[in-house]
Amino acid sequence: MIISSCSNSDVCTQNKSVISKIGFYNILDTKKKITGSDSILTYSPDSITIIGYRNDTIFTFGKTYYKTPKLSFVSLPLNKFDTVSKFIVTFQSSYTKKEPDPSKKESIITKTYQTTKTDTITIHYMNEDYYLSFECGCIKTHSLTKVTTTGHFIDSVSIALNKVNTQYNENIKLYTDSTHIKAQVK
Amino acid sequence: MYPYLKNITLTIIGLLIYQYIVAQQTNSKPSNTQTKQALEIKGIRIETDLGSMLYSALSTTKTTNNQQLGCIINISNKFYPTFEIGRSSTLKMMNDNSSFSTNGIYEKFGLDFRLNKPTEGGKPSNNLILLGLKLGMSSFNYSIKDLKLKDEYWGGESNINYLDQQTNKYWFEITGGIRVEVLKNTYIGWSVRYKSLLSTNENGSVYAWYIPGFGVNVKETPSWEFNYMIAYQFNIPKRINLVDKKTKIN
Repeated sequence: MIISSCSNSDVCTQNKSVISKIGFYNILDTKKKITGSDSILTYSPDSITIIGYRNDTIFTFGKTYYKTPKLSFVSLPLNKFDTVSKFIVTFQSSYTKKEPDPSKKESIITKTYQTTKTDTITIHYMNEDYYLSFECGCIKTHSLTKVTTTGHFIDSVSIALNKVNTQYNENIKLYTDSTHIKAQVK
Repeated sequence: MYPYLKNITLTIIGLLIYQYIVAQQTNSKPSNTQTKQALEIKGIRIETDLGSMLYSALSTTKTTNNQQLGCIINISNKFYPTFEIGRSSTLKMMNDNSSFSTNGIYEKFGLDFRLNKPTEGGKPSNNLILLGLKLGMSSFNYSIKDLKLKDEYWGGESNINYLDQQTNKYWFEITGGIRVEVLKNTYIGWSVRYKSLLSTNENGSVYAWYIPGFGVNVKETPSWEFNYMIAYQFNIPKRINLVDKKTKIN
């Protein structure tokens, strides 16, 4: 009579979550372009809404990061049964700007503006079945091959680590460019 | 942490065997006139695990079957080389209807040491207290069916099957037990076995959930087994000496 062990072998105790991690970077900060009194002083999205998009269908249970201070990354699940996943990312941003006070000569005031920009991120990848155990079953891991984006607010994207698995490392770097907003307001 | 446990266990069993051998040598205390007893085959014991057979017969789910037969050679009532062969099959269903099935043969061989003396109170005793070390091996096929893969976000579901996977597994066992002679040459008793695989499951490999002869293969977890044994010993009428007849020590 075999007694396996004291542990319950029917319960899955392993992490099964395969999520791609996308880091946000401000291209202005990266390139150290912020100089001068009339530049955008601060930038931080008030909220970012991300929804999945497939075959003209919008996945309404998309994730919203609302008023997340110092948001530095988001987590996106890739489609396990396809090799392309599209996400629509909407940035709701506020920023402050110094400008002359029309009521007082030679006086500078700081004004706050609100704006919304939408971009589409398209992620291309290959899938692979990965066996965890009989209790946990299989997961799909992904190898990223290409990432593209529309350039409304996002300046550029790059693959940081192409393996998407349960390790939850940063896979994609996404550079936003606040000068797009600045140009729109002018 | 687990490899340390394995090393500690092996060290303990090594010390026990060493202590036993030293004790045997100390007890014998050979003098110039004393003779060294020859090693001789006194009998062959055939035994089986009654517990597994009853469990397989009485189980309503009939998911696991295990039969094993052991052949043990009695050498001078001290050493018991063992050979065991068995067949084991299992069908494990999970709540989501995924399943694991296997059916295979396994073999084990090793050596048991008798810890008690062949005489108790001056009378010969055939009752045994045993401690042993064994190597087990199994070559078997297994299938994993209908593993569910679901995409909670994008939707979609598929079933994954791994059919007729073939593998070989090796493990060691530390065994302890007793055998009591209830009728002439008929023994009953129990054994407890600590088992540990000699290789680990590689990450991502489709490893077997159950190994015939070993049990459930949970990652880095040893297996335990308890046996209710019934045995019959065939005595060898004519002594077969393994070492030349009584050798005089100068």
